[in-house]
Amino acid sequence: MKSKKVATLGIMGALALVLGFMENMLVPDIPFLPVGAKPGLSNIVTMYAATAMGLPGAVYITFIKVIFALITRGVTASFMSLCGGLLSALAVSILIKYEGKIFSFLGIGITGALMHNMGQLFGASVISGTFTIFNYAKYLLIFSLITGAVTGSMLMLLMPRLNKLQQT
Amino acid sequence: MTIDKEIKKGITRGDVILVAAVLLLSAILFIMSFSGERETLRAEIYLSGEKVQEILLSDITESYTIKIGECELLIEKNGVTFISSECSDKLCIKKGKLTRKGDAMACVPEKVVVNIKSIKGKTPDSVTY
Repeated sequence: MKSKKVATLGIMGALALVLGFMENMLVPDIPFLPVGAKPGLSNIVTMYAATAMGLPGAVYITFIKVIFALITRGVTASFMSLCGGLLSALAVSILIKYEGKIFSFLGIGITGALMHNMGQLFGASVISGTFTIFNYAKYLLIFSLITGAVTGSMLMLLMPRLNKLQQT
Repeated sequence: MTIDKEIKKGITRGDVILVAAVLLLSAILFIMSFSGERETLRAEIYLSGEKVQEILLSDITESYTIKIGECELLIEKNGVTFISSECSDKLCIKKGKLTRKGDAMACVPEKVVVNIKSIKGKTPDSVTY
């Protein structure tokens, strides 16, 4: 691995953790949020990693988040983070290859958020032993649409600047 | 690792279809789960994947609490509430009272799931109490 890649991944991993930590502090102040749902700001980093380095980059960021969740929030949270993160990373990495053809970053952000939430519900189902939790999916669907659109368009705006940074 | 691909501006037709599809799907799910009578609510309670309790809420005259695993639930005529749990995040308690058909909440760390349903396959008229 080239040293520049190592450094970039390190910075992105740290950024993902900080964004995740910050939104945990913000969540109580956001109204109309389904219980347990979060904006998923660190998905911006995962999407950027998928753009710059493909699936391995996105999976790397996911594992950093999973380990952090394991240390700070326990086994249940980290397993749910793993399920959501991997599914989301996979979907985003595939879609980013066809960026502008199938979906723009807006659609990719929404798909990423959807997959993250569905993966987490799947993880929760595995732990609790019943898939009846998917009754909760309807709240998360509509919520993913909003958060995914926010994270997707944020990355769309940031992308030209980030590209310029990469070329120096 | 430079990104040689030009980032295209603007939304695609795919984006519009995706947004419309998700809106439609969630609208259908909401209508399906929240339509119907409120008087015939039934609470299904799962512990570690096993259905341990099925309570016909309309039959309840006096509210009471039950202990399911490490969670304590308040059972009332108009809903079910997580009132205590050994879990760390307490999301189950934050959810508040589950009052409508289609409502669901899980305390994932303690493996307790509550689903509110209406009486299956029966219209309110055909239910014998």
